[in-house]
Amino acid sequence: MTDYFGPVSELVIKENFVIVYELLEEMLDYGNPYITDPSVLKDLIPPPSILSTVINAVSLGTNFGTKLPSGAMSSIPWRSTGIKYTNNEIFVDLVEEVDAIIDRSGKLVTAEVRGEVQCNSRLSGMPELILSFLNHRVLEDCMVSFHPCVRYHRFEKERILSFVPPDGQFKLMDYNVSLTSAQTLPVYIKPTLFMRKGTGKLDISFQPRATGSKIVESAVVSVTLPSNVSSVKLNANLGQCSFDQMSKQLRWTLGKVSPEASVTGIPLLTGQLYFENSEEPQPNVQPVHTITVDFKINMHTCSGLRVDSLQLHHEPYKPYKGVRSVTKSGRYQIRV
Amino acid sequence: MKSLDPSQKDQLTDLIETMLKDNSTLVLGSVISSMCQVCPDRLDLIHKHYRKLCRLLVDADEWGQIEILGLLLRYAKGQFLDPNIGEKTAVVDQPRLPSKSHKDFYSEEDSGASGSSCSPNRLDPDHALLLRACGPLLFSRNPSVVLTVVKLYFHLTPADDCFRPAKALIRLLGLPREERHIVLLNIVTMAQQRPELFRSHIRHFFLFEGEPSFIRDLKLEILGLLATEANVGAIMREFKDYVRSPDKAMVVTTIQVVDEAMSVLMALVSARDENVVAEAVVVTRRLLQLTPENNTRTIVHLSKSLDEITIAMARASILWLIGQYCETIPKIVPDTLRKAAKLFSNESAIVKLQILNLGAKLVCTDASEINVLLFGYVLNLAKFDLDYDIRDRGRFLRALVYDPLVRAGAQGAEGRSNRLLKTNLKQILLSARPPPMPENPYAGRERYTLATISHCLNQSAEGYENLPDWPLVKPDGSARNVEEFEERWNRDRVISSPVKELKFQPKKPKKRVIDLNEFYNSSESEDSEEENSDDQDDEEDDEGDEEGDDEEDTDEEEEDTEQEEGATDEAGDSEEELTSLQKNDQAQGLRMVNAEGTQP
Repeated sequence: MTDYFGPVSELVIKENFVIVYELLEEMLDYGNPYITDPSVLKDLIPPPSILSTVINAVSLGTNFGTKLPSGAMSSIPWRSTGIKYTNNEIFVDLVEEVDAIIDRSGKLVTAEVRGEVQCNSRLSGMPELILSFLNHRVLEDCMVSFHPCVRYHRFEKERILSFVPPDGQFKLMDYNVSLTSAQTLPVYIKPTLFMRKGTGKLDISFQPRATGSKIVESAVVSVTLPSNVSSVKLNANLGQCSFDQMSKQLRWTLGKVSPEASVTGIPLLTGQLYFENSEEPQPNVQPVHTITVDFKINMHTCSGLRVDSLQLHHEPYKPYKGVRSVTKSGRYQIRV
Repeated sequence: MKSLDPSQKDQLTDLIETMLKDNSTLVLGSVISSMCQVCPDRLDLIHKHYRKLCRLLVDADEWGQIEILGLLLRYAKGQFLDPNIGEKTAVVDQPRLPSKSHKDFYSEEDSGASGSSCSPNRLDPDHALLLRACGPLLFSRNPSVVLTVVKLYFHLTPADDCFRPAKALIRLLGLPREERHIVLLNIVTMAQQRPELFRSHIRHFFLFEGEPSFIRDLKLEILGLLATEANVGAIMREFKDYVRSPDKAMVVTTIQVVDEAMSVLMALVSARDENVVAEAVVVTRRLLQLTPENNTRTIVHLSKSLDEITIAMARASILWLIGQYCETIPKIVPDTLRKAAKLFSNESAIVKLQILNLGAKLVCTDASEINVLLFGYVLNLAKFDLDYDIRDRGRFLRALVYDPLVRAGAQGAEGRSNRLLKTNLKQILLSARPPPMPENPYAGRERYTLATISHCLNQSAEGYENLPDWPLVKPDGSARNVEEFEERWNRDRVISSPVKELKFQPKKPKKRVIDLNEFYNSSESEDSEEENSDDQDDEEDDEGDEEGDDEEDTDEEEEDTEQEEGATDEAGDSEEELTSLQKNDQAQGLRMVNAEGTQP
């Protein structure tokens, strides 16, 4: 639905109810899911445009596609024939999300990278693409899944993706890589927490590591403090920090952190916590359990997977090829 | 099925039978889906198309793949032998990875073999074909497909071939939480039966902060199932971290799963958090029952903490424990009873019951004056309690224990029945009880097939049917042998399928025997000829002889265009039939021409 309408909300659904209903009807055939590929759906039910909305409002015209699905369906259901672009371009994005749990001693408990290869293809005709990776050994056996257009047996034999792309934006492949050592993690957080009667002290340091000398952007560190914290005094040498009384959330927004931070000065947050009632902290209950980190690193993949080449066959033109990658944080948690 | 008219069933079945012959992948999924709605029992229709379905599986659309897989699973379960019969129980605890090498405690066999099944000579080749055909589907982007494939592997393969599918399930754990929940449910069932599949993937089940509770419980359950001597250290460390979490519910669940590491539990008992302590005590009780020796210290410690503990379950458990082992700790029991008796009226029902029990057991073992008086005091309190259960128990114990003692003490003589009762009393009250097995909320799902709604809800959904059991005797597989075209299957090829072209492939051509006389007599009415031919179709043999061809040639052409099943030839009077039949199989056409040439 985001393809059709942009961000989805209740209001959007109400306004475009007819199309939503049509979509549901095409997707489910008497209770069984039937067509769920977005490109095929777009053929059958065109997305709303200003013109069609005006016509509908004025003259009660129907919203059906003006052309029926052409009788000469190609053998490939995900790409129709007769696509033409003046500028032939293809963009490949590697988007990775890192999930990690790190122990209080800095040791890795579990870390996993979930990556997607997203493609935006604006190519004419019926091109055949071959995408190969620089270090395909990163990809483990069953931890990949493909768009139906990819030919499996070529991947199994040679570890390359051979496919005829659908038109537009689509997800080509997704993969899972387990990381084994904490050294490969892009961000290193060192927290210290000290609780005493009535007050506590909290130190968090943020260090980029193993980012391939790329800048860490949109870095945010959040901690949920225990409910009996009454106020907090914070001091950070980079970025802003705030504390929300209602939800007891401490947020440290760092923004951009460059990897030379260890030279210029490690971002450090120090804070004093004041509790409501001064009582002895319980020995076996850890009031602050985890610290959550969010970040984004451009042009870097945590797993190390890189695109080697993208070749185009069966078509006479030379397209523009763009490849980029981004690593985002998924559920990245450090235990205190 | 409710909405389908039962009288139409036969017609629809025939229609489906025709459509099954189609080679187009676009159609297959829908055909199978309608078949499952119309005639799910007619698995015999599948015999001829089995190998074709296996081949085309990869190219069908995603939802079609799911339907086909479901059908093939049911078919295979009914047609092939159980691959696990007679397999040696050499537990292969590691997957067969040709390049890596694991160190593993349990593996006996060398893992150098290729990825084929364990004993290829035992699997029917069609069975193996199915398993091979499903392999690439593990790469599908649709999690539903992957889950269906895993279901198929789980129910159909020899025990050690399931590692690849299990790994694919792990990949699915990265999905949004509703899908993750379903995947985890299935993993739980699989882990209950074959935990070795997931042992190497333990790290994926560790909990993240902020995970919804239903996911958390499932993951903890799985971790508990996967614990072995090798990895229990890692798991226990994880659990220690979990119990420190400020989230109470999570802590409670964690403790329920843990059944080792007493030291951690004892540390928890001294913690102040009530719920934690309650659960800890309950678990401790279970553990103590399992290892009755060397418990004295623990029980003493527990009874000391009785003062601070306020949760009813916990207090009840402790009291029960003390009562059960009162012979080993004679010193503290009376004192505990005294303390409990003081607070009797404020306690909750289960605690009161336990206090009564405690008193009874104490008096049973050690009938000293003070104990009897104490017990009498407690019984009197119980007589006037609001809860009828307690009054009842009080009366019962009074009659059983107290009165005989009092009477015996007063009169100094014992009747025979009293003596019998007395000697058996100990047995009644103090016999060793089996430790209560913790209730497993995820048990009992094994009876449902994996990856069905019934499995998720743990109750039969409408329309659910169990998979058929393995047959005892191998059914004949020759029905699947059909003449197949020498087609090179190529994904890029445009598949156009005029029905006529295909109808000759699966079946051998039928010959009909019609008298020459009949032909001349019936040339005016086509209908009667059709009826004749229909009847005779059923009676025919597959192999006709060449001599019959001469007569048949001229007969058959009029019926051909109407019939579904095929007569075969080209020779004929009418031109239109000639052109329509020209699409037919060239070889057969040639044969007819040859035969024609011999005609006078």
